[in-house]
Amino acid sequence: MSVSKPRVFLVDDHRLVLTGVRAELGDAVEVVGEAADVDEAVRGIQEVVPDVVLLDVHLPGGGGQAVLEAVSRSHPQVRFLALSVSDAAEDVIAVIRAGARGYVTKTISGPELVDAVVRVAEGDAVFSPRLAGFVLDAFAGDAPGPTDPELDQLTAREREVLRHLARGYSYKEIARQLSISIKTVETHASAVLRKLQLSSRHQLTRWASDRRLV
Amino acid sequence: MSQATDSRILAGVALGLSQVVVGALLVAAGVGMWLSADDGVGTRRALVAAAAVCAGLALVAGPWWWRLSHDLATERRERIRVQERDEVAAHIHDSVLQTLTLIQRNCADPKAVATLARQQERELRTWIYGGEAPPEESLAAALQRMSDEVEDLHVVKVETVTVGDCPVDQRLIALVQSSREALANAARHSGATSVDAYVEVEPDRVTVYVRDRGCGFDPDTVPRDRRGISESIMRRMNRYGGKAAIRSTPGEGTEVELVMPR
Repeated sequence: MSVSKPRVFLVDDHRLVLTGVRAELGDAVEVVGEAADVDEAVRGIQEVVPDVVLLDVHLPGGGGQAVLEAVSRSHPQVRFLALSVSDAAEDVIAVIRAGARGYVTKTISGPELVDAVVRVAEGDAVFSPRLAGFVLDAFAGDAPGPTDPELDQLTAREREVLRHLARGYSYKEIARQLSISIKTVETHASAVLRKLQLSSRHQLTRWASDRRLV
Repeated sequence: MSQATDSRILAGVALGLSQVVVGALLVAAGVGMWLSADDGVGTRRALVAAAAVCAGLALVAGPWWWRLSHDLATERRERIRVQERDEVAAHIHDSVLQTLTLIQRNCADPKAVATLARQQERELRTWIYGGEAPPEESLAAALQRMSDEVEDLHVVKVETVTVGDCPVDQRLIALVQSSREALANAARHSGATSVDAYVEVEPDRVTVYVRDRGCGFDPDTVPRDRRGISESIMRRMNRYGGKAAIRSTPGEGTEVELVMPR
C-alpha cells in the first residue's frame, strides 16, 4: 500500500470544499469518488472500497457518524479521517468513537493533509492540535466510579505526546523532542485513539455535553 | 550653607541627643527601681518602674522606628510608581505603537488606516476610562477573544486549543496580554500564515505555548530597540511572578512558552 498512492473517497456536502480538497491533495493520492450526503456516501464507498474516506463531520442525513456506522461493519478495511470546520467537541469525539482514525480541520495545508491521509492509510492515528486538546480535556482528572486503568486513564508518556500534538508539533518533531523513535510516537497516538474509542469513562460523555453549553 | 540651616541641624542633633540621654536615664531609673522593688514597698513602685522603662524605650527607639517605617513607605510608593510606569509603557507598546506600525504599512489604503485608527481610539478610550476586561470572564473566552482580535489585525490564522478553564484574574490578564504579544510577534516577523496557541490550565499554574513554523531567529541578535519580546512578554510575566521562555531556530520557527502560577 505504501508503494501505490492511497485511493481516497471524499465526502462533503459543500461542492466548493470538495473541489478545494481535491486541489490540495493534488496527485499525491488517487481520488476514486465523492459524495455529498450520507446515502450517496455509503453506496459509493461500498462500491469502490477506497483505502481512506475523508469524511465531513456535518453531513445531511445523519452526519459523518452515520456513514461510519453503516460502512465499518461491512467494510472494516476502509479507514476514515474526519475533516471539519466545526470544532464542537462532542461532534468530533462522536465521530472518533464511531471509528474514525483521526480528525483534522479544514484549515490544514495541502502537504499536511496528504501526510495525514497517508498516515491513516497505513493504519496510524492522526491528531490535529484541536483533537489532542479535546482528548486531554476529556481524560483530565480522575475517572469517577470503577475504572479500567487500561482504558480510562492516559499514561504520562501519552499525555506528553498529546501535549506536543496540541502545541502543533508533528510526529517527527515530537520524536526528536522526547528522544524516542517516530514509531514509538505512532504507537502512543494509536493507544490514545483506542482509549478514546473504547473507554466507558463516564466523564467522556458528560464532558462532551458540558461543552455544548459553552 | 546658610546660618539658619546650620543652626537647625545643630538644634536637631541636640534634640536627638537629649532624647537618647533622657530615654536612657528613664530606662536606667526604671530598671533600678524595679531591682529594688522587692524590699517590700510594693506594686506602685513596680508600676512606675515599668512606665519609666516604656517611656525611655519609646524615646530612644521611637525616632529610629519612625524613620525606618517612613523609609519603607517611601520605597514602596516608589516601587508601585515604577511598576505602574512599566505597565503603561507595556500597554502603549502593545496598542498604540503596534497600530502606528500597521498604519505605516497600510498607508496606501485609506480605509484600512481609518479602521485601524478607529479601533485604536476605541481601545485607548476603554483603557483610560473603563479599565481592564471584566474580571468574571473565563480564561478560555478571554483567550479566544484575544486570538480573534489578532487574526483580524494581522492577516494570520490562529489555531487556539485550550485544555481546562478558570476565571480570569489580574495575573491571568497579564498572561493573556503576553500571549497576545507573542502571537502578534509571530504574525509580524515569522512569515508563517498560521500560528498555534496551546493553553493548559492546571491546579497550580496556567501554561501557554505560542508556536509558528516561520523563519525563526537567533534570540541573541534581536536589536535592543525592538522592545516587543523583552518589555511586553518577559517583564510583564516577571512582574506577576510568571516566567517566559523563547525557543527559536532559524529556518524552523519559534515557540514562546509562558507560565503563570495560580
